[in-house]
Amino acid sequence: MAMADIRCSMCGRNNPEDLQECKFCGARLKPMVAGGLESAQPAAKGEETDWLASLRAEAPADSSASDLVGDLKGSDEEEIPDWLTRLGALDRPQEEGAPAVQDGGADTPTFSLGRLPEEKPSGKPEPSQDEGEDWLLSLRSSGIVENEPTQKIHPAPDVPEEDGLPEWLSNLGESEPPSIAIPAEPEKTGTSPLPEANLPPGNTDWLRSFAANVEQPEPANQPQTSAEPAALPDWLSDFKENSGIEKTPAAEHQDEPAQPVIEHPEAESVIGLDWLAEFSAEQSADQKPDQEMMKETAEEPLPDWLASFSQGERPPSAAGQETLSTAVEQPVEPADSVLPVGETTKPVEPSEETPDWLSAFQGMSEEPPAEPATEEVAPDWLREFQQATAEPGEEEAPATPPLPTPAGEVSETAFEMLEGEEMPAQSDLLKEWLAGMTPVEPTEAFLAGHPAAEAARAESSPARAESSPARAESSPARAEEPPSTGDLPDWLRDLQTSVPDEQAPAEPAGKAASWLQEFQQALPAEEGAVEAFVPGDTLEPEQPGEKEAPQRTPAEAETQPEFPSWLASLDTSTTTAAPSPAAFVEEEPTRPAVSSGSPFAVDLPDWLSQFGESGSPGEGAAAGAAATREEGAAPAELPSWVEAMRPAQSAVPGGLLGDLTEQIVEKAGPLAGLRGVLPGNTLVTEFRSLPVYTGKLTPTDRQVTNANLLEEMLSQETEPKALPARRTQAPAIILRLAVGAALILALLLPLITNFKGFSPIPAVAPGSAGFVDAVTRLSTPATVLVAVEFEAGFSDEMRLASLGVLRSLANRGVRMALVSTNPAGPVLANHLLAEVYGRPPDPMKEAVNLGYLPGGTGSLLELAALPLQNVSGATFNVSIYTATVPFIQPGSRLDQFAAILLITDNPENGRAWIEQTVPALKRNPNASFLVISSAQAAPMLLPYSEAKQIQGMISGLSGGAMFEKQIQKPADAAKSWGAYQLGMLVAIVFIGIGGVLRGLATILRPRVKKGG
Amino acid sequence: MAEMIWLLVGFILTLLIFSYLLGDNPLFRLGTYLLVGVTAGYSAALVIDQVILKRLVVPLLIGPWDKQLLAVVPLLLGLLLFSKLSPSFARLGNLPVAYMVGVGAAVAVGGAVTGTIFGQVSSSIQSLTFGNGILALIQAVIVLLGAVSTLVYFQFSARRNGQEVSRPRLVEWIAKVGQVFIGITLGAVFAGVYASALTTLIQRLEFLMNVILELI
Amino acid sequence: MRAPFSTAIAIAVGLVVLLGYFLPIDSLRGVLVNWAVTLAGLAALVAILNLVGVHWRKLRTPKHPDLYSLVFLLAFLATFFVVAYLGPSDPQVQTIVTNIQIPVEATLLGIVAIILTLAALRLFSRRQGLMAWVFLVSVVFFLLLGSGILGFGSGLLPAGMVQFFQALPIAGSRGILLGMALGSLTAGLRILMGTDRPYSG
Repeated sequence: MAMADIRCSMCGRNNPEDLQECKFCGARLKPMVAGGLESAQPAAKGEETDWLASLRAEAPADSSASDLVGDLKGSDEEEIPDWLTRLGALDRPQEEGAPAVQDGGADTPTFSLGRLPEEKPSGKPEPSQDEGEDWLLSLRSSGIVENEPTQKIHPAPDVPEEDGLPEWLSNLGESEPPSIAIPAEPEKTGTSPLPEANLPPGNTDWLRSFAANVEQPEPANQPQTSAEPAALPDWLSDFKENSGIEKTPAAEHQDEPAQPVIEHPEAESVIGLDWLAEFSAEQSADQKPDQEMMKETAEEPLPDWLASFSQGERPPSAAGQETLSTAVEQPVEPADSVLPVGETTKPVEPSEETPDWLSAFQGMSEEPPAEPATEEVAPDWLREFQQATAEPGEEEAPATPPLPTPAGEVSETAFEMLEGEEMPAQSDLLKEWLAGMTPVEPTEAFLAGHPAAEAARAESSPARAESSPARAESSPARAEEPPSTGDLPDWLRDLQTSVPDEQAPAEPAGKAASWLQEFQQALPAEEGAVEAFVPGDTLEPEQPGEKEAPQRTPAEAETQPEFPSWLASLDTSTTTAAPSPAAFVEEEPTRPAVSSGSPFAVDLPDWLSQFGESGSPGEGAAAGAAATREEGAAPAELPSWVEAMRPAQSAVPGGLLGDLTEQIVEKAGPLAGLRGVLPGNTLVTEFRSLPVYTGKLTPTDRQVTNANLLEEMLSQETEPKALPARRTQAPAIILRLAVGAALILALLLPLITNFKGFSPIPAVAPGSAGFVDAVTRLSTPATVLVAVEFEAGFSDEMRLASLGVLRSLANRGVRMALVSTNPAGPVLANHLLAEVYGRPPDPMKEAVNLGYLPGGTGSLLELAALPLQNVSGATFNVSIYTATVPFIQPGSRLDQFAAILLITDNPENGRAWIEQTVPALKRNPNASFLVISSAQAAPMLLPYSEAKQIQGMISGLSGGAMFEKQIQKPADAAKSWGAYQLGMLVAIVFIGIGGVLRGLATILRPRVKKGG
Repeated sequence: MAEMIWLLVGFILTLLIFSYLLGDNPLFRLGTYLLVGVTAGYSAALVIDQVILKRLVVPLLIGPWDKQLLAVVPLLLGLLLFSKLSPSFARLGNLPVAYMVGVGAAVAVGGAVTGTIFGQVSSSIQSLTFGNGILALIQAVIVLLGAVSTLVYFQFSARRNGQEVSRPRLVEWIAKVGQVFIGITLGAVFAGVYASALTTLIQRLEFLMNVILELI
Repeated sequence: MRAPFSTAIAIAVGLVVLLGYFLPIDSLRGVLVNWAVTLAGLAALVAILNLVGVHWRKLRTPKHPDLYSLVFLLAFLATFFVVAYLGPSDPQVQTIVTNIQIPVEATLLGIVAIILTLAALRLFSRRQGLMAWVFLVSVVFFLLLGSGILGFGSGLLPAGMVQFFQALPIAGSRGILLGMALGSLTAGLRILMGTDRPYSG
């Protein structure tokens, strides 16, 4: 495209650059052709940037706008804007901070606004670059860098009108020469790195058309390419050439806040993906606003995911960058080396794997080289687009906000809504910019390099920060765009027809004028209402940085610093001839293009869905917006994940829209009978009753389940747990007492009654045969070593068990030497001997207590190995030495005893004695080892008896009784036999009772079904 | 009179301990603490008399020089052993403890081998003879089977097959048999313990009756 | 290596004592064992003194002095001084022990009888299984056998059968004894080889 020519957006014919009106159709060329063709392209881009930025910056807001419009159509869309705005706002701050675009773009809305103002002033060549860099930077910094391009690309794709594109796209093509100029880049990039091969097979027409459009502007931008790095591909160099404009002082002004952008414009442009570079390069300084226009137009049609990218500002996540970069790089593969930033040069996924949109990208990138993007290649819609851009007056057309609904009333109300939303944010500025509405003419601003527009945007940016920055951005673009009535969609035509021509010659303008009138009428009343309407919750509060940012920009300072861009568009729409229609035309058609055209609306690739889920509510907003823009587009088109993000109940109350649409009919006063004359009242009431935005989501079943579980857990945690009733010991004590009483009674009765038992004392006990024989064999000269190895507690049992044996031995004159490894043993031994003999035995003749053997098992070994006198030098009676005992011969060892009689209650002691002493005792074959054990130790000592290691053993009361019976001298054991037998039976009875109770409990217990 | 007092003391102490049937109570605790105190006091005095005096002091003072010399070693080791009472010097007591542990280990090993293992194994083998009749042989086989299976039951070595730790099926089967024998043995032990306790209870009740009869 | 000297002492003394079971070194082994026995007696005294110290500290606890510790200490001191003064073999000392120690300990064991009766009542409510059923049957059988109702010859069952059943627990107990012996053997050998050093703590 030759820069000298300006293509009329209306008729598509080229006009000399200096012409302000198409010489063929008379359409106005000026606003958009201010900078020649370049300017025209930028104009388109300006639009794009506007609405793109708006989408980007506050997709929620934008979506809110669109949603508001959509609200007119469907209630679902009401919900989208606000919460999405919040969500978007949440994400933005990070990104905005990074780009540090002029506004300081601190927070959400500012993000776009901050940049847009820059871009706009960049009407100069440099600024244009800066602009591209700015928003690219912002994107990059926010991780959206690559998204932006996609957004930009997208708009173009949406353009094809004849291919079934929506009307707005056709309008774009007609009204925005810049769109035509854009494809010019690809023309230059015929040498561009975008190879045909990279074009995905699924490349859509619109992409091709976009590429074709991109070609045109390139030549105009060529001068800028000088600033680009040599490494850049041709098309990029083209871009830089074009964007050389951006390096103009104006751009520097803009860049001041966004220094990084200024510092590395080239890099940024490069980083910003090739096509983006193309995009930005094509935009001349004058075209900046046009670029924004383009952005707006492009953004609007952006698919949800793109919108989300632009809106959801994320830190430059590698993933996002990668994906985006791949999306863009794929086509630009050859230019990978050119891309300095690794982000963009990251390995590109194979085109087969790339999602549709990526393939579309590739297709775009490929297309240009394959098809030099000449006008011939450009699709019809693009031609129309070019024609439209060539036509003067179209620039102003888009001044009106994007009203989706064709119905005039609806659009008005929607706009009112939009205004109403913006108003609260701009409440402070309202008066000022309202005052400046008339004097400011967008056309002039554009012609003057759009300082005013920038200023307006910059001003509006803070305001939009709360509501819809996208609108603010788009508004100037609208103002710039000439209202091409011919391109207007039907509904716009209706608008035009319905709107009086008073305000503007162009029908759309008139349309805008009508709603503006209403708006103006409502303004005074609205201001208060607006403030009330804009609660901090729903709309992001203005951040100081945002307000300051516009002030920083010199361009803004020059013009009307506080004039919001959208108001500027209003101005243009009201004062100039072509205000709104273009905007309407552009935006509205784009919606269907966006929602339907983007394959991501439903099927998002995983990584994109991750993006969306990762916190770019803007996606949802954009999706919602797109959906709303579509005529009859149902929310069903929203991706599931977007729908999931949408609050179920967060929406502008349905009544609001209903009221808006219904319009109150005045019933009294001079206005009686007029309908909707005093919209302010409605606004006031509506805004006051504005929604309580709930954050309800539509969780999945699983989420609900998990939430319920969590809630249950939390409730359980918080609920005071009833302490387990402290078990009272009463039942246990009672039971114990009962059992004890029963047992004691069972034992006392035989004792009292001298009960002899149910059966006679057994004559034989296990192992007792050998024991009786061994004991009875012992006679007078024999000396028996008696080991008293029982505790005091077992003394009663052991006494009963051993008393008969000891008495038998004593009666037969067997001498006894008693030892014990138990400290209490000597005393117990004495106690036992005293009972055996009926007196203390004579240690010299009868029995001597050798005392305590310390050391346990060791002393047993010592006893087995050493002479007894060495083991125990003195008897238990210290005054008597062992050596002096007559029946213990000096140097006598263990084997000199006739027998060892172990009286023990402990199997361990018995085992120790057997282990240590039996081998030594075996040296005397006539010696025997006898054991009197407690009943509890018998089971563990029986093996020794069974193995004949011990010669005999009796145990317990029964053993003692048995021995007494054997020797026919019943004694104490026999007396207790009855009680003992009864006590044993009691235990058996209790076991039986326990079994019966258990059985009854089992029978009576309600059976629990299995699995119950 | 003194005998009567001591009977009353025993009677009262018996009642104090029987009060445990009502649950843990101060009377019961009083009786148990008193028992521990008396036992400890008596044991301490007994050790001093039977060990320190008889085994250390007397040999050092009275015995021949060789015994005096030999008595020095346990005296020194004993002094080191008392360092265990102080945490600061407790490590000094490790040497006498090591000495006792060494002797104890040797005694345990020797006793286990010569007293139990050889004795029981040889008995099990010797009992497998027809000399005592078929019934005795069957009994010997059962006892041998029971002993072996019980030992197998206590053999916990197993192989790990993936997540499952299991023993060979044959070993498992034998262990099951051993479990039965162990159950029988423990049942007999339970009955023996009960018999011992019952006998003691009978004696205590008889003691109480006698004291009451004495008092009456 | 921890406590090398102690380890060396333990191993050396242990090996000598162990060899004494198979070699005629009774004199040397006797001396070593005698020292060990003496030390064991002193160790018992150390343990008693430590017990006294514990109760002494419990008694001196500022806030909640354990009065039962006072009982213990009083009983300990009284008994100790009396026995030390009179001698352990004195008849009066023997009276003290038999009239205090035997009643208390025997009564404790008597309570065990009641508790076991209570346990017998709950035998069926315990966990069911092969082991439980075998145990239950065994308990009942040996209670009957111990009561003399199934006594040898004079009972309901023939002597041979009773003897047969009597031999059943021997099988298990022999296995247990062998297991214990093997365990003692293993533990002793580990100590004698220096693998386990319970004295180095």
